[in-house]
Amino acid sequence: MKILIIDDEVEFATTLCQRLKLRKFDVSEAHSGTEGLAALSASPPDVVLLDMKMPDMSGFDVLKVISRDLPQTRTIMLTGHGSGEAGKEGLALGAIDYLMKPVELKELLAKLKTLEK
Amino acid sequence: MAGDERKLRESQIESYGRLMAGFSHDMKNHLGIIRESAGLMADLVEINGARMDPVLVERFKKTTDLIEKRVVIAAGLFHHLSSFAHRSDTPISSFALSDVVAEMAAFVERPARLRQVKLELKNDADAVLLNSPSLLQFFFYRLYTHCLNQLGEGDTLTLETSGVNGAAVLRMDGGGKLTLAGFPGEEEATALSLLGGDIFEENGIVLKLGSVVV
Repeated sequence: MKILIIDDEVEFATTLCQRLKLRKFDVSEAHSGTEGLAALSASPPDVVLLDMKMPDMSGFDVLKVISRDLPQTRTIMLTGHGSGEAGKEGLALGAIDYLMKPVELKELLAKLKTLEK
Repeated sequence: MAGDERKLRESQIESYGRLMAGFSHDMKNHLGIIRESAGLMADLVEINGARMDPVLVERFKKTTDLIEKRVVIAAGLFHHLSSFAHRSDTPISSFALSDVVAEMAAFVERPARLRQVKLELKNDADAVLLNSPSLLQFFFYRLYTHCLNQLGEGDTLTLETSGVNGAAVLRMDGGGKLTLAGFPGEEEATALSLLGGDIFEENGIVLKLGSVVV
């Protein structure tokens, strides 16, 4: 399974990337919305882990492009919003799921396993 | 309170809410990095453990487990802080009383612990209200403090929410020790009036709230 992490928190993206690689996933990372869109068009992944708040553009803007141009790519939003409202908004825009930050790896792996089926 | 002053106060509360929500969001990002870094250490120890000193492996495991445990606790607190802060995004909104009480309980558990009072939450499918959540947060805090001041070592304060005929009810029970003596004061009475609520003694202290468009 090919995964792209789009998150402006470089240390978070890099560490999560390493942990998923240790579990034999094919993972790459992008650290801004713009960088993410470039990576998406260069090599569309199976799954995108997408942060909602980034300085250059919001995760929702990236999600709209994915929903429009890459219908095969599934998006899991990462949100730090307390109520989960932002996650629900993401679902309405085409994300298949959302996770609250700080992300629990076990929960993420369970979702990825479901997608692999 | 004059209309202009009230609008100013609402804007103030909204600003504080947005600041707290932003702070909470940042802290969750920091926690995310701490959690992933500790997780990566645990992964590396697991992979390379066979070539390491078993005592060192055990120490690493204990340390990473402790970091994870504390991250979970801190994340829970920031989650509540974020929800609490977003309550003031709009002066009037729809919400469940049990959610507001659960958020507040995360913050007021500490003073109870310091008094050696056990805090218990009970939720029995309460009603959804259209009311002022930030005003309720204020009123709840004052009422909670009033109740806690009447309790001491070994006591239990139970906060029970329920719904009755479209109204939301919060019962604070301190094992028969709670009274309303001295409560509400002037500020709390004004808040209660704006909330359109009622408060009385009945097997503890009961706060009853309906939907109000202030």
